[in-house]
Parts: sequence; C-alpha cells; structure tokens
Amino acid sequence: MSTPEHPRPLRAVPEDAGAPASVEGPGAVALETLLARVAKGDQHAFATLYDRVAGPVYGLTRRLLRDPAQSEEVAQEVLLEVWRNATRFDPARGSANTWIMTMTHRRAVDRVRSEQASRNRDDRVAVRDEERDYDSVAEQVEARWERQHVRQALDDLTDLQREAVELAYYGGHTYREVAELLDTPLGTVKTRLRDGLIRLRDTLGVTA
Amino acid sequence: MSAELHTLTGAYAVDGLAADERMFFERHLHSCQVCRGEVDELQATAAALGAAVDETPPAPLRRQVLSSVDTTRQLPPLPASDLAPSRSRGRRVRAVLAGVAAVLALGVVALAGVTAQLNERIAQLETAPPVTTVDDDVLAVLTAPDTASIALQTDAQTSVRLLHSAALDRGVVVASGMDPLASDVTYQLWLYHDGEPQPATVFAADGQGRTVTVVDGGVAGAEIAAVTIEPSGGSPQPTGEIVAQGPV
Repeated sequence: MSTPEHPRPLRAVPEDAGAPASVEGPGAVALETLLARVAKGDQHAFATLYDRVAGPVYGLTRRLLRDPAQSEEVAQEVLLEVWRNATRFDPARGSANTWIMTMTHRRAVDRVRSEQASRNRDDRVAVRDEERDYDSVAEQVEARWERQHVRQALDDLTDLQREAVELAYYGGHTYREVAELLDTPLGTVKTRLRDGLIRLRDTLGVTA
Repeated sequence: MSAELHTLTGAYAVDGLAADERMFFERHLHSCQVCRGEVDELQATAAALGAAVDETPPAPLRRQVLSSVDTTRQLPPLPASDLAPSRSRGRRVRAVLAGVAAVLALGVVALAGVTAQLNERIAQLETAPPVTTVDDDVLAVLTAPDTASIALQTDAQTSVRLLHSAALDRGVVVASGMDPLASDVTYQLWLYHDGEPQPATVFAADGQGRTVTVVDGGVAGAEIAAVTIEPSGGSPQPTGEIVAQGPV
C-alpha cells in the first residue's frame, strides 16, 4: 500500500538505463512512434506526447530561465516546434527524447542570452537543491530516481569537470563565459566539457 | 583546423558556443562524420541531464499548446530518397509493372508534387524571418574604403550582388528574388582562385527571397563568384545548378 509516508519501493534499475525522459508505464508507446504519428498530423498522438515530454521541457526551461512566465513561453514555443517540425525528426540521428530536449535546451539558452543584458544572472547549481510539487507519489519516486541517477553520474566527474558541465548546461553559459567564471584557460574548459560529457555518457550508458 | 574544432564537440553539445562560433562549428559538422557522431552522443547525454530537472508545467499550458496545434501548419515531409534496387528474382517483371504504375500515377504524383511545393513555400514564408538587421560584420564591409560591388549574372527576377573588400578579405552577398529552397538543399557561394572554385559560404533566402550573408575570407584576389544549389550543408566542389555567376 503506497502512501506519502511510505512510498513504494523503487523498481530495479536496468543495467543499461540512460535517464528516461519522463514517466513511462510498462507497454507505453515509444516516443518515436508517437512522433511519427504526430508527423502525419495526429493531434491525439501529440496530446499523448505532450503528457510525456511537457515536464522535461518545462522543467529545463524553468531551470535556465527561472522566470515562470518566460519559461512557459519558451516551453510552448518548443512544443509547437515539435509539432511543426515532426516530419524533420530523423530517427537515424538519435532518439525522439534527445531531439526534443536538444531543441528545448537550445531555445532556452538563446532566450537566456537575449535577456542577458537586463538580468542579474544567478549561477547556483540547482540539481541537488530544489523541491518540487508532484501530482503523484509514483511520479515523485520516478523523478527522484532520475535525479538520483544523474546526480550520481555528475558526482563521478572531477569537481572541475562537473563545474564546467553544470555552468554550461544548467547555467546556459558559453564555454568562454565558463572560462571567465572559473578563471580557467579556454582550452581547459573545452577539454573539461568534452571529457565530462564523455564520462557522463559512459556512466549513464547513453547511446545516441 | 579539424583537430582543433574537434575539441568543441562537448561545448557545442551543451549549447556552449555563441552564435558565430556555433554557426562555424555547424558548418564543420556537415563535413565531419567523426565530430557529427560524437556530437550526437553527447547531445543524447546532455538530454539525460535535462531530464533530471523535470517539472510539471502549469495546467493552462496544456490547453494553450493543444489549441495552438489546431491552427499551426506542419512542415511537409522531405522528398523520398531513391528506392533501393530490387535484388530478388522477378526483378524484370517488377520493373515493368513499376513502370506502368508510374505512368498511371504520373497525374496524381504531379498534382501531389505541386501541392507539396506550395505547402513547403507556405511553411518557409511562415517560419523564415525577413532580413532586417545589419550586423557588425556587414557594416564593416559596407564602410571599408576599398569595398567594391559587383552584380552577378542571373535570371530576370533575381538580383545577386557581391560587395567585397580586399583589405578586410571579407564580403557580403546581397540577394533578392531568390527562390526558397527545399530543406535538403542550400545555396552555396563559390569564389574562384587560379581557376579553381573554393567554397565560400552557404546561405538561405529568407521568406521574402532575400539574403545578406557575410563571406569571411577567400575574397581578396577572387576572380569569379558563382552561386549554385547544393545538398544541405554545402559541398566541397560545385555539383548543382548554377544560379548566378560573374567576374569579381
């Protein structure tokens, strides 16, 4: 019996798991399949896709933009872009999740940079710190596992690699800005970002 | 050069390149399979980092997005690539049948083709912003003391000019009346040196058929300029239709 005080135990983590994009029950239709239907104009499939990816899309824009109104705006832009460009998704290049999250990160970062002049940017890393409101305990546990998995993978990096990756990915900084913030040569930052991501790739068992 | 660019795969995968570096690196990706493969993997890795900050969006967002979808056009599918040749027996029969079917389908296909083109054009007009701002690089060429302007030979509806400064070794392609292209092809500018075409830049026409594109390097001493249509990302040598050319 699952209650907020006694959440159900985590299910066994598959050995080769990368962090899943969103909550998927057993037998859920693959995101790629949904996207293929969306490419044919299937609005019902898009609604299902929305329910699967809106959390990651909004969460990432929120992390980068902070402001809830702007985050909603960018999240909406991204989701509409998914709808508009569904025919351009190339499954040979990577998963639907990667396609969508890459698009999200790019748009959010571009918005951050265009707002840069008028904002006082806070560079705290929030992967460990933030609390969330969840609709269900299952979702909470699932998301907690994802965070746990990623947090552990990040902990596996050297401090310097982790700093660079977090400032760039979650902070939206260019590698040149990271070099300034960390008072580190450009070449070193480039290397740390690359090595750090390669290590994360291997720890998380990610394949494109 | 390639070895140095290779070190940027990580930065690129986390959107850690500013606009100009990003554009330059993406151009490199079109011709470097190694970097492209690594970038694909690192972007997949970055996507996993993104999932870790999952947050349920406010309820109104769902309503807004789903209702917007109702009135938002999708890009039409890309044209199908050539069919792989048949390997099994009965190939000849199949080929004949295919030929007959093709002739019968010609009417339908032609109509579908025209419709697809119209849809593509509409999508481009909707998504491509008009060229309105003049950036610093363009301004530098416009105001250089030795800048000359040449008009390339092209068809009646199109105008392609190349402004160029030998001192800056930089130019600007300014064009109007360019046909919008399908997304798997691009315009590419070539600058000829010693009779050999060197790739100068790829560019796209905006929703109004215009472009203002900086050409960095390869300008000083160029003899001829030409614009061809190449596969998306550009080619190392001209392969496609020539749409404009002229002496520099």
